Amino acid sequence: MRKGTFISKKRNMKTQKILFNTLPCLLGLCISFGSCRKEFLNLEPYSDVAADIAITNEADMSAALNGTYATLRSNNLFGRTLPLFADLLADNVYISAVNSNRYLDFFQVNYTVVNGNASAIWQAAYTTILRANNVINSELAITGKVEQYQSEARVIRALMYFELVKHFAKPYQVEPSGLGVPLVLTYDPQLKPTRNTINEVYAQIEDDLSRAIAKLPEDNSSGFFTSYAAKALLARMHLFKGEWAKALTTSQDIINNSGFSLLTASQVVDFWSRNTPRTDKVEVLFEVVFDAVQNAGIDALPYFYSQAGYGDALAADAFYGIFTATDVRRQLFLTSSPIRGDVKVVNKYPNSSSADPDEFKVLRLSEVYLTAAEAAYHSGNETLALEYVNEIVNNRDPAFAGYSSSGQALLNDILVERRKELAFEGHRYWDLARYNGDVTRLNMSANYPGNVPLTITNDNFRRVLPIPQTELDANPNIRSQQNPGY
Amino acid sequence: MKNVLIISIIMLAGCTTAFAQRVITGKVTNARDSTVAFGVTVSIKGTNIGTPTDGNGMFTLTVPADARTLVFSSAEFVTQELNITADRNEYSVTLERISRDLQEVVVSVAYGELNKRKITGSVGKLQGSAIANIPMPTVEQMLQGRIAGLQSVSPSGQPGSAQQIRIRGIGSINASSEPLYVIDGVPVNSGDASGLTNSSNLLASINANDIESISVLKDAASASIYGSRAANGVILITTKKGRPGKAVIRVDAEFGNNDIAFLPDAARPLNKDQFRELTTEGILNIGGSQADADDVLGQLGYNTTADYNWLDLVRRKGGQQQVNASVSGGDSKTTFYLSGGYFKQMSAIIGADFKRYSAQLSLKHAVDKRFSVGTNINISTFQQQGEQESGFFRNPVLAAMALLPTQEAYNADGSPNYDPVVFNQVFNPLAIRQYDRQENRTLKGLGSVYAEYKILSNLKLSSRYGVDYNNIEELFYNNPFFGDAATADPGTSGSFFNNYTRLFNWVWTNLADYNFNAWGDKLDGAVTVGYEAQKSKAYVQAANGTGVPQTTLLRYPSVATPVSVGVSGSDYAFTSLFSKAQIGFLDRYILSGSIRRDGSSRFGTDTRYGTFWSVGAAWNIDQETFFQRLKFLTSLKLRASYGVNGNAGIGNYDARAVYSFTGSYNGLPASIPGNVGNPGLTWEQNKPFDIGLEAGVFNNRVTLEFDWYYRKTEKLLLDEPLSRTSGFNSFKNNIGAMENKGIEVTVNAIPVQTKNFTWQIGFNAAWNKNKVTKLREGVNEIISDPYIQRVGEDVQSIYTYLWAGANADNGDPEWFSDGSKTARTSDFSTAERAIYGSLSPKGFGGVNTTITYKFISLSAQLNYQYGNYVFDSWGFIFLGDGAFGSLNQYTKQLDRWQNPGDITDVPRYDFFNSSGSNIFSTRYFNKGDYLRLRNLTLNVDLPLKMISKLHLTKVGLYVRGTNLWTKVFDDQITIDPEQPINGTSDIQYYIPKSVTFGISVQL
Repeated sequence: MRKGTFISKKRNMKTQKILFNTLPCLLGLCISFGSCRKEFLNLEPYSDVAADIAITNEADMSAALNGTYATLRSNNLFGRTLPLFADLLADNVYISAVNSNRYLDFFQVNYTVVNGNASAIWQAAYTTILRANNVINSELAITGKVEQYQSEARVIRALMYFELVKHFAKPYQVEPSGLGVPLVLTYDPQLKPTRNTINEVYAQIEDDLSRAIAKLPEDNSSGFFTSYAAKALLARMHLFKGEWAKALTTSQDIINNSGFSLLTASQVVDFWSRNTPRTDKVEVLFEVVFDAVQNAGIDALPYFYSQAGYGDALAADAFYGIFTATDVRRQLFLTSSPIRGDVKVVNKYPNSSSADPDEFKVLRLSEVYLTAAEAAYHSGNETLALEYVNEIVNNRDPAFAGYSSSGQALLNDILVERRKELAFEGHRYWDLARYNGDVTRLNMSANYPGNVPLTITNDNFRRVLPIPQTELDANPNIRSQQNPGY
Repeated sequence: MKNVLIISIIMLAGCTTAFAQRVITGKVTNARDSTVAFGVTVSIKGTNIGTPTDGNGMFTLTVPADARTLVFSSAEFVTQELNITADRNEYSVTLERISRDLQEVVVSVAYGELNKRKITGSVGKLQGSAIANIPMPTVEQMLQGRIAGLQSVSPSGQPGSAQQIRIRGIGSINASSEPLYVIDGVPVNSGDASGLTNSSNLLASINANDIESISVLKDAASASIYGSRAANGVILITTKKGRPGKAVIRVDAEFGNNDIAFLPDAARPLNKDQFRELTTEGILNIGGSQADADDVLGQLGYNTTADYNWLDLVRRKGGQQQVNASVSGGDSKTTFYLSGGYFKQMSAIIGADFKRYSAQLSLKHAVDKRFSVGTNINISTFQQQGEQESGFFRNPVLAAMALLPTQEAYNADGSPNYDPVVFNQVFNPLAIRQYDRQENRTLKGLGSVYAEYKILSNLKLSSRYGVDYNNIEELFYNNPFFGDAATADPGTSGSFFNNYTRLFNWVWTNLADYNFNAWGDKLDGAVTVGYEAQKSKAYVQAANGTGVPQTTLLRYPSVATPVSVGVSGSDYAFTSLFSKAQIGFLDRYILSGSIRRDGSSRFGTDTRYGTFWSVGAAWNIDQETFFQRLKFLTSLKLRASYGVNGNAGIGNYDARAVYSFTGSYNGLPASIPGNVGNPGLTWEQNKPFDIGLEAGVFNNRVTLEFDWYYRKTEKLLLDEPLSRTSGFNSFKNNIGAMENKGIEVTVNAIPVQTKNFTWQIGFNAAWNKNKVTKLREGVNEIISDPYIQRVGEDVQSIYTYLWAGANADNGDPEWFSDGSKTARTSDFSTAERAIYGSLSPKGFGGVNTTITYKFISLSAQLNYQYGNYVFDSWGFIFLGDGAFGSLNQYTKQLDRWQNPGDITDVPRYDFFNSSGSNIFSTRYFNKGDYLRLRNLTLNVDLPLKMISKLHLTKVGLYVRGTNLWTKVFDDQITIDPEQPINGTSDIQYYIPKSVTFGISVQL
């Protein structure tokens, strides 16, 4: 079910030109003169331009790049599905018994090849890739701006391939040579591609990011990719691949050189209530901008958590329980709902009701610190690992002196801290998946009804989404490459 | 010229001086029942002197002494001539009423009229009482069941909604399959042009009472002259015109109300106890306790005393009214028709109303013998109050099914309750009704001016400029207190959308008509050559904002936060050169042909022009001498036609690969790829072949019309699916082919006809078989779950999982794992999809009958359809085995499996069901066969003796029932069997059942 919403109408570009063209025809002149009959039938659209002349200068390219960023707002990408998936399929979030039938199959882990959300992620990601490809492949003469725009497009393309390969293929560390997703780098609508390997997809991501990092500016609004934002994505990619040394050096580069500052405890609540992009280099390296005019509306993630919206998704009681009372992050929850009673409500995105809703933070400095801690641990430098993880916890829970664990316990502490810090931002499931661990849901307060699985073992075929039926139907070459089990 | 004038003057002078005048009187009566015949024109042959008969059939005429012959003519009677002699001044005549068959002699066809005998194509026709006073807002609605092979269905029961029409099957997959509408020679924009209304119909502005006749052009010979837009048939609407004679004043009034036509037993909402029982069972089934069940039931309102039937709360007796008045008449030079009408319909479910005010003027004036001018003007406005359908939380039909009896409908003061704690998903429809508004005001101006000049008596030039103007003003107001747009922040709570749409469509048609006779009238022929140019321009302004004032008193509230303002436009143009010709020998052998060259702005630059043609032949066997010996056969005609016509029913800019400048990111303008485009895109080609037989027996007491057709559509304008990795879903391409084969039968009979008693009965039936014959090279199916287009199969084939029911041992859902339905499985991943019939009917039609005894008549029309499935696309909620445990369920859910050994098709009810049992499968498809009593009317014409004292010529009183009775043949059906063309229900408003009383007065 859905609520009423309307798509804004297109802008008018060319009314005047058209009027002048048709005026003589209106007077009937062209009916007697065959010469202008062609004109009579040559009606140009008002708000569109021919695709082959769409990118002819820097301003056009900027618009096309903005159109590429704009798809990231889609509720099938960072608008809702991507960040929700990772918290819902894991153990941070559950769906209330009073719900609007959204994402139940993710929650119940019973999705099939016809799953609408899986096909929507696939489609929206490739739509974004098409837009990025058009910018990257444009033959405009190279200028500083052109290079910057093309580099931003490369980062967006890398981000999309990263999300695709995470959702539709096995984790890199499980089966690096397994089937990934098709790499489509140029526009050819008739192409029926087969799947590339996971290795190849990651190589493409790394290539795009490395090239972009070299050309991107260091400073920009947090709504656009900068070189350090691209590096943060690269660090995340190394972490996924288990390339600990590279993950560590890339993270350290950002921590030491970017000039970004970490959130302090007193800034946390205010940070999350802010609904505009920033340029002050506090915490956020890249966020998808939702403003008063362009936003995901009632299809947004905040609306899905807000009890004044759908409010279907609630924080698991077991998860809420791991925050200490003095942890400032506990203030990012509400503990009751007018409709659903005594439940834990996610309040990390409190602007669901305002005209300008919350941005979605894709890359934050805190994640980079936690990546550095994990990478340092695996590199054998536990002291450094403790230093980075404590940098976070000291800025969240003033009553906590910090971790001093070692060995496996230290790794567990880092991962728990990661779960707490990055909750509801689309990380939890991937942090379990890249270690090939089981998902174990702790059923406190009957959050999980009897027919919802409490354990999703690492051999469950649904740990990887199906290649959508719509793709199989339209692309015969991929039909034999469905993920096993579907 | 000068000479002619002088001669005329001399002649006139001669007349007046040389001959005396005298006065002739008389009475005209109806030969059958001896009633008086009023309004008959009595004229002197060879002059333009004449007078109509009065209400008593009397006439008085001053005639020159040399007058020899009187002519009595009227539309109702066979024209009769009477010689007068100098010794008598009083003449009375009796006239024969024109028989039903002969009345149809002249039929409106493309660019003119034609004697029925000369028609080589298949033309369906509707006129007279079939059109007048129909209790439906739109003209197309009354076509269902009236014309063989024409399917007319309503996607929504909201009055004023767009109607869907298919003539001889579905002709296209992704281009439009709707016919072209031509009103008084002007091809108009039809369909839905609204932006904020649930569904609105541009043709709803037309008052059916202003329509003289409707011709449906079904085959190549009749329709191909409309070229690129003829493929799906053409509906010609001719409005009423005045006739020479005494002015006829007519007033019709009708009132009544609407209810729901059909409520399936299997789909009624559960009552309080039933839902409690189901929910408790569902919670126990998933391992919960009775305490858990009580807790959930408490959250669902079971701790209150509330107990409502939401269907009853949203249902009402929707009012229905119409008043129409007209005056028509004229003299030998000028004729006119003038009318005004009011129509109102309220749906049987709250929230949808329709009101129309219309005016029509038709004027024709002969300036002289050669030159005449005229105009038809229709100005009308309608107001539509609509409501969202489908899964919108504000849909009252959804609310009727989904809300629980325990949700408190009212506050203590009697006002509707909108507390979001009680109505956290589906809103209280009573409150929505009170606080929100969705309005559409459409102003239509449809008119044309024309001039005709006869160069010779048989060569006529004419020019017509027509305008079809629509102005649609829409608003959609969402209150700031609750519902879709309510937020905690007054600056953004509530929303107000506004759309202004202007459609300006002009058509200029120039024709030359030439006809000739040769060989002593043995050979006759006609040729028409024409040029037509058309352009339609759409202009849309849309604005919306949030943060409306916290009051509902404002009609046009200002908004605190403007959200977006935009302007868009979309145009199309056609230029055409065309010709048609016809030749007949002895009225026995008729040959016809047409050709049209069309250019359209919608296609690629190099593929913009197309040529379309037809040939047709008819053999009037009854004109053969050998035929005269067959006594019982009155008339017999054989005809055939073939041709090529086109379909251009796609988006105005689909051929173009474009980037759209739309939206923004971070406050900066953005552009996105909008359309793959296809520079070679061109017409879809339709090649219809038709053979027809028309016969009449027993003095045409029984007539039969039979048609066999085979229409092949090639170069289908198909949305060819693309790998989604391209960034697009599909692009438009001319690929594939399809065929429709079928037969149509129309029979009319008058089994009994005596002085006082007549029984007429007729039926029409059509059977159509559709087959996709080709898709893209190497591709033989396009799947769009749960449908498929597959080569060799019907275009509306269902392709879904085969539902097997509940496992008798444990109540788990089961599907068949193979197409032959032998193996069952509870594992969805091993369930198999297969073709499961079609959503298109195998056959449909109607039966109509009228029994007349003296001045009382009873008429009925029964429509039927069979051989198709209908799809309840929201059944997965209401028959979801607990998947939607907090929403009310269909009665059918009570048939669920409960104990081992239970044999049922409804699985175990698990609260929060996760078994996948409600995934689309054949479970949600039911047989769509039905019989429906479309019309039942009892009419009483008051005896003339009674009304003539009041100087009235006709007074009729009637009571009419519409859709009074519906018979379905699948008792498990959960929706009305009369669904849109795609057979798919979308929780739309119910089709109404109306009862109306009316009076018709003529003087």
